[in-house]
Amino acid sequence: MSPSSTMYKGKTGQWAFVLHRITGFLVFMFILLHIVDVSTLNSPHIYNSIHKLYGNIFLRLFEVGLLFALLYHALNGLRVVMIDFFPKAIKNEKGVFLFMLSLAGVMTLVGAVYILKPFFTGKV
Amino acid sequence: MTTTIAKTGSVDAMELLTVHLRIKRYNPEVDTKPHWEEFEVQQKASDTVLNALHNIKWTVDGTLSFRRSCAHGVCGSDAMVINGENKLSCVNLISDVGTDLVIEPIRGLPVIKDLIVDMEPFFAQYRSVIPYLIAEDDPGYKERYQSQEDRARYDDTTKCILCACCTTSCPVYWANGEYVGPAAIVNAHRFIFDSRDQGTERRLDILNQKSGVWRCRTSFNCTEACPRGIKVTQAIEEVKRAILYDRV
Ligand code: SF4
Ligand code: SF4
Ligand code: FES
Repeated sequence: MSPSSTMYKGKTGQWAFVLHRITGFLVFMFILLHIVDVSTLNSPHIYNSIHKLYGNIFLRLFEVGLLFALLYHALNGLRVVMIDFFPKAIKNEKGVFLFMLSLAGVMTLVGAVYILKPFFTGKV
Repeated sequence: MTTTIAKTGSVDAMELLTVHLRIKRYNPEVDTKPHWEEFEVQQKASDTVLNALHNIKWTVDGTLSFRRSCAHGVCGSDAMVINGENKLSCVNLISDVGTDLVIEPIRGLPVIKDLIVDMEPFFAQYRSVIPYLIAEDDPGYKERYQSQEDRARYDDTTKCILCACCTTSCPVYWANGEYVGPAAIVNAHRFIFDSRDQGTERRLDILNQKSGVWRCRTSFNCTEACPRGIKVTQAIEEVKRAILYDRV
């Protein structure tokens, strides 16, 4: 049976906005997590065992995702600032979006090499 | 069939096609929630979506309810969600939108029946920006002159037909009906940047409030949806800058 409502077919602008919200939420959740793990600092034992966890492959992949979220959120934020302040940016809003998305992608790939390398070389 | 009628794309404009429509319906007297109904009608490729809706209403099911008046893209009464996008049913041809159609009422406004929504919140938001010329001084027995450049400042936003395609495509408006919405800002823009108008400050104050321009997150849905091709997001950005720099 048909869904009760269909998805609104927005163009790049809508998806830029949705992705901005999602990545913003992820970054926020990470900061909470980060506050919790840093707060264990006065019991070094717990702190160290938590940080050992970060060495495993799943959390490393998670960090790669987090890096992308951070980069995208920052770069798309710049795009919105450009749209707000420079009338020229609004005419090329789609181009700027694709540029920022690719830039975030490329920078994530570079970062991924550094994040994942220690796992494969075993030098944590 | 010999015909000299221009073809739209590669389809023969006069050929009869079977058009399949899935329409979201709601009758407040019997339904507790909306449901989908399917219809099949024969239309020419050059017919509009509105033609197909009329065909259903006049030959298949007279209870199907929708608004329309001019049928030529002028009055702005027949905005609806057609295949996931806000459009006027009267200016979209079957040859452009295809023969498989999913049609829903526009979002963010309460549904009254079938494709008819209550436009009052939308018009209240329109009225809230004082959408008329305020010029209290007496020009005497002369016209209020305006240069061509000054007239060009707001030319784009004079084209609005208040169809609500923009406002009801806005993700921010769906989530928060308090937001005045792009259509109200477009109509404020039309007077804010009119050199003869003296109500700029009042309008900028209104749009500087919590429900004003700062709700806009530049998702461009409104610009994509406007059947008049108004650069809606750009107009909103111009108003934001007018507030920020305190100059128009
Ligand atoms: S650009 Fe602003 S007003 Fe237009 S749809 Fe997006 S958020 Fe809404
Ligand atoms: S700005 Fe465009 S989409 Fe919005 S109400 Fe006016 S004509 Fe309709
Ligand atoms: S019926 Fe008037 S705009 Fe479509």
